[in-house]
Amino acid sequence: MLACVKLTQRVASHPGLLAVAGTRLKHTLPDLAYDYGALEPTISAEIMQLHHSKHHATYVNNLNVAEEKLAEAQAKGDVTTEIALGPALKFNGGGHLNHSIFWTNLSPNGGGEPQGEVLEAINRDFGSFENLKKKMSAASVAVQGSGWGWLGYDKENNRLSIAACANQDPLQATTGLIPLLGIDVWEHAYYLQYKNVRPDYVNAIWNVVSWENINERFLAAKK
Amino acid sequence: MAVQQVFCTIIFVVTILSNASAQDSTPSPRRQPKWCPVEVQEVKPYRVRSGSRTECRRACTWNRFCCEFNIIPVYTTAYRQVSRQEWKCCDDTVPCPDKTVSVDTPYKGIQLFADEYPVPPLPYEYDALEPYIDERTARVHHLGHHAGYTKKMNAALKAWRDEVGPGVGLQSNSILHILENLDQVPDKHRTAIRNNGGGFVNHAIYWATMSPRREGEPPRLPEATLATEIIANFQNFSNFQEQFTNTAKTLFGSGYVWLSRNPREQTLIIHTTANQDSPISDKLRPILVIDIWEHAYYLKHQNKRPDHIQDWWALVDWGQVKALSDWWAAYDAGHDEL
Repeated sequence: MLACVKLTQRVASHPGLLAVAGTRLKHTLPDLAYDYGALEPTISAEIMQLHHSKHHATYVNNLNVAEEKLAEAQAKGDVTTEIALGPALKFNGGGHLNHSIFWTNLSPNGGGEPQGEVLEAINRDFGSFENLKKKMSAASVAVQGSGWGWLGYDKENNRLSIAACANQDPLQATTGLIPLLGIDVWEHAYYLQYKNVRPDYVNAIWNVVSWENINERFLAAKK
Repeated sequence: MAVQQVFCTIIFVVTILSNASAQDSTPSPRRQPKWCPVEVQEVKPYRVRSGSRTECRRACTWNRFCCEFNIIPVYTTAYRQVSRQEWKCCDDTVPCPDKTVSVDTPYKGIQLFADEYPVPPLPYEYDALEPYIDERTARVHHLGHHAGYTKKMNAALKAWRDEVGPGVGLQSNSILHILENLDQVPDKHRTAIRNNGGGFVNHAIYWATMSPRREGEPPRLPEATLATEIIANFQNFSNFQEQFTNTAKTLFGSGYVWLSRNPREQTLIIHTTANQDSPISDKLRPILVIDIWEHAYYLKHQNKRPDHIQDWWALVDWGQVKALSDWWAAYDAGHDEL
C-alpha cells in the first residue's frame, strides 16, 4: 500500500508526466551561458551570483506560487482572488521574463559595435550607434526608483524604440514593443560595485552587451 | 529729490505695515521671512581606542611565563570638531520672529523658506548605528543619496523661482508647504520637486527617528501617549509591529513604509509610498518611516530585506517619534518657532 503511494508520488512529480496529465509545468530558473565571474570587471561575480541565484530565483518561485493560487481560484470560480493575484503575477512574471532576456543580452564576448541587420536599423532610426547609446543610457539612468531601460522593436511601424518601464513591468505587455535589449537599473543590479553611481554602471554595461543576441532577437521579431 | 525721498519713505512704511500685519498667520502664498542655514563648529570630546594591554588568562605549567593572554582595549578621551546647523534670519525686508532656530534634528528647517537647503547632518556618527546599519551604508546613503536629492531639489527650486521671478507664489514658500501643495506646482517642475524634494524630506525623517543602540539595552517601546494611540489603532503593539513589518516585506520596488497621522480623523495609519513620494503630499503627518529602497540595505543584507527590517526596529527611537509627532502638532497649530 505504502509502496503504491510512494510510486504514485514519484510518477506524479516527474515533469513530463505532469504535462501529459494536463497539469501546468512549473517555471524554472534558466542557467546562465557563462560563469558568474565571466562579466568581470563590468559586473562583479558577487552581483551576478546574487542577482541570478537569489533575485531571479525568487521571482521564479513566487511566480509559481502565484500561478498555483490562480489555478485554484479559477477552479473554484473565485474571480475576486483571480483579480487580486494580478499584481503578484505582473511583478513576478515580469521579473522572470525580464531577467531571462537580460542574461542572454549579456556575454563575456560582448561589447563593441552592433552587427547584422540591427545595425542598419539603428543607423536608420537613431542616426548612429553612439546616439542610441547616449539616448538609451540617459533613459536608463533617469528611471525613478526601480525599473528597466529597453531597446524595443515597434512591429507596427517597423522601427526601433527606446522605452523605460517601472519595477518589473514587462516591456511587451506594457508598451507593445518587442524587447531586444534590457538594462536592469534596480539597485540590486549594480549597488555592490557601483554604489549610488548608476551612470557609471550604465556606461560600463555596453562593454558586455551581446550584439549577436540582440540581432537574433531583432530578426525573430521582424518575422 | 526731497519729494522723491518722502515718497519712497511712504511706500516703504506702507509695505512694512502691510507685511507686519500678515506676519503671524500660518504660511500661505505670500512673502515669508527668510532663514539662512549657518554652520556652527563645536569641539566635542569622544572616546577613542588608544591601544591595548594584555592580561594573563593562563600561566604556563612548564615555565613562569604567561601562555594565554586576554587583550583588553584601552581608551582615552580625544576631541574633535563637530559642526551643527543653525538657522539665522538673513533677509532684511521681511523680519523674522526674534529667534535663532537650532537644527538638532534633521527635519527641522523644512518648514522654513531657504534659497538653498543644506544637507541636514546626521544626529549621530556614521558608525554609531552599527551593527544594525553599517558605517559604509550610512555614509553612502547620507553623502551620496540624501545629498544628491538635496542638490537636485535646490536646483529644481532655483529653476522654478528664476522662471517665475520675484514675488509671491507657491515657489516662494518652504519645501514643506510646496510638497503639501504638489498639485499646484507647474507641470514642468513638478516631477523634479516631487522626487528630489520628497527624497530630501523622507530621508530627514528616516535619520531622525533612529538612534544608536547601546549594548544590552532593553527592547524599545513607545511612551505612554503614543503607546495608547497605537493600541487604539492597532489593538496592541505587537499587532502594529507585525503589520508594519509585513507591509515592508511585501512592498514591491522602491519606496517607504510609514506610520502617519491622519490629522482630519486623528487616526494613525500604516501606509506605503512609491519611490520618493511623500505622505505630506497626501495631507498626512508622517511620524515613523523605514526606507525600503535597496540602497538602504544592500551592502549589508543584499537581497535579504527581512533582516534589514529586523535591524531597523532595533534602532527606532520612540522618543524621537513622539518629538516628531509633537512637532507636526505645533506646525499645524501655526507656530513659527519650530
